Amino acid sequence: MSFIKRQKMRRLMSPKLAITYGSARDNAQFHIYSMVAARFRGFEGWERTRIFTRPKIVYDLSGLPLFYDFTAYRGRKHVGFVRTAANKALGDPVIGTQVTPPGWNMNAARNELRKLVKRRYPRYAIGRMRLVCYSYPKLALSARIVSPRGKIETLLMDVGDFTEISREPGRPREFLGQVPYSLLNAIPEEQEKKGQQVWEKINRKVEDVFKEERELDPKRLSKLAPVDRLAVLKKEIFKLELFKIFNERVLDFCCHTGSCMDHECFCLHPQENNVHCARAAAQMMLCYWRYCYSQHEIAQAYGVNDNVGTPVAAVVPGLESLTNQCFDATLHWTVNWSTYNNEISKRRPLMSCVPGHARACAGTKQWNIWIINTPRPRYLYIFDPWPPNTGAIYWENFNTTTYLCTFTLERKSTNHT
Amino acid sequence: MLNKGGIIKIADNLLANLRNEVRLPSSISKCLRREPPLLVKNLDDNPSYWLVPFLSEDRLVGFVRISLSGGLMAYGRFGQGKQLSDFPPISQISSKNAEKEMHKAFSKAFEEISPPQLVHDGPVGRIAWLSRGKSRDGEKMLLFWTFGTFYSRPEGKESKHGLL
Repeated sequence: MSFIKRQKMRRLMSPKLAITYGSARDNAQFHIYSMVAARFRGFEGWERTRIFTRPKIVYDLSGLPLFYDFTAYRGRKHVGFVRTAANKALGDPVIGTQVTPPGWNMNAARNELRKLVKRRYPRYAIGRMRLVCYSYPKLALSARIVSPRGKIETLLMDVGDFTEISREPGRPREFLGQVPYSLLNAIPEEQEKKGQQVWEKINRKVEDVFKEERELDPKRLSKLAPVDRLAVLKKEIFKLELFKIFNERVLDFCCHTGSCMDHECFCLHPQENNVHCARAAAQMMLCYWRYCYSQHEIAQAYGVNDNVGTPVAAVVPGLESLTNQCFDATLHWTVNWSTYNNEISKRRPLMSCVPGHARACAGTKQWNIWIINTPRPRYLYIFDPWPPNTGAIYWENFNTTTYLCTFTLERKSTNHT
Repeated sequence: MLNKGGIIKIADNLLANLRNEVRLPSSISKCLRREPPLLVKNLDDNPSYWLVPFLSEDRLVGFVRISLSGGLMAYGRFGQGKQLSDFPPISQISSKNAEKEMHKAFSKAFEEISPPQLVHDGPVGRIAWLSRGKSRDGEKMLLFWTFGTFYSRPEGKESKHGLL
């Protein structure tokens, strides 16, 4: 039984989707440079690593090359590897990086496979052996074995625990474990073309970078001392406007051509007692729009005394009245990233509420490169009025925080009285 | 639960982020040093997260908030000051100082005041020192001191209104 449909196989075999070692290696190298320059966890010391010129090829169960694994070494020590795509349909040129040595050994796996054949298939001859990804990310050795009568079969053995893997295609969406399936077959048809476009776009940019930035030539960099190499990487990678490791937007209103690095355009107003958070958060938003009110005045606009908290329902009418109805305030019970991103990109601060507490939000940051199979890192730039009379400004992990609601404040576009 | 060593490692890796990403004055960001992590509990006395303070001289400048399993929750600075004297003093996170301040603020009106613990009052960002005590008529009270501000409420009585 085949692991891939015939039509799909014909499409994925197209030479247009094949990737050369050279392109894959350049992408792997650029990826390492970016991770080192951005101080990604796990990449400490990787400015001293080199990657092999030729990759280890990992095949798909369809028989097509799937990944090129470039081993990274420091001195004589293997410190990890960079996994790149061997087929453009996969999309991103770099699939991932392992920053620890592999937990298995090729020679040991080969020996175990020979023992397995001797035990289970006596008098069979062993032919070609290949590394295959049988159930991403699990790897197996695939060996062609030939019976004394000339019958050819394929044996699959996991390289980690040396168990024989069934040659029947499994159902990975329904079961976990050693379920063999073709990763290439699992790519939806509409994704094949998109993947090719993504791969070609990123690869073009990487090629341009290596053509234009001679400082990043691996041969040139390898001649520098590690500390100088690191300094060059940090300088060159962050110079590139084409590649941002993360996109960051923080509110500014006085420097329209760039970001205000010597001061904060958005002012922190700490709350004046233990219940004033919604007044302080409003004070910050209104101050940005050049409305100056005390927290006591804002409490009055909310219709509450100074010594009690603020009902959520009081915030919208309070904000609108303090702007003399020149602004529309909106309460959003559904909190999503796009609301924050849109408001900040339009230079509008928000009031971000967690259960029981209100803060102002004046910026967003999200990563463009991150570890696969993990949530995309996203952070909010929070101006927290707590602790009282001090306040705090911090980048808050959006993925791990529970939010209650958000308030936006937008200037009315029509004339008003 | 990740051990203290693991928490310290995560916090140390974020020192560069603190220096570059929260617009600290450069004279202050150059001299940042990490203090031992503090375990912050919730009001039910259960561990909630680790707060790793960063100081410059004797001032509390920045922090990293890390979950018990080692997940990064937030990192940033206290206040928006431009000079070191604008930042809160380190005594704000000292349990000895908190005990002294609690006694000064509450001993006349309350009795059986317990030693203070660092907690978050509701949301994780609302850190405060908490002591438990009794009012003169025997009602159990929660007594809070945080960065120079005192407040109290009867135990078990949350505020009626949503946002504090």
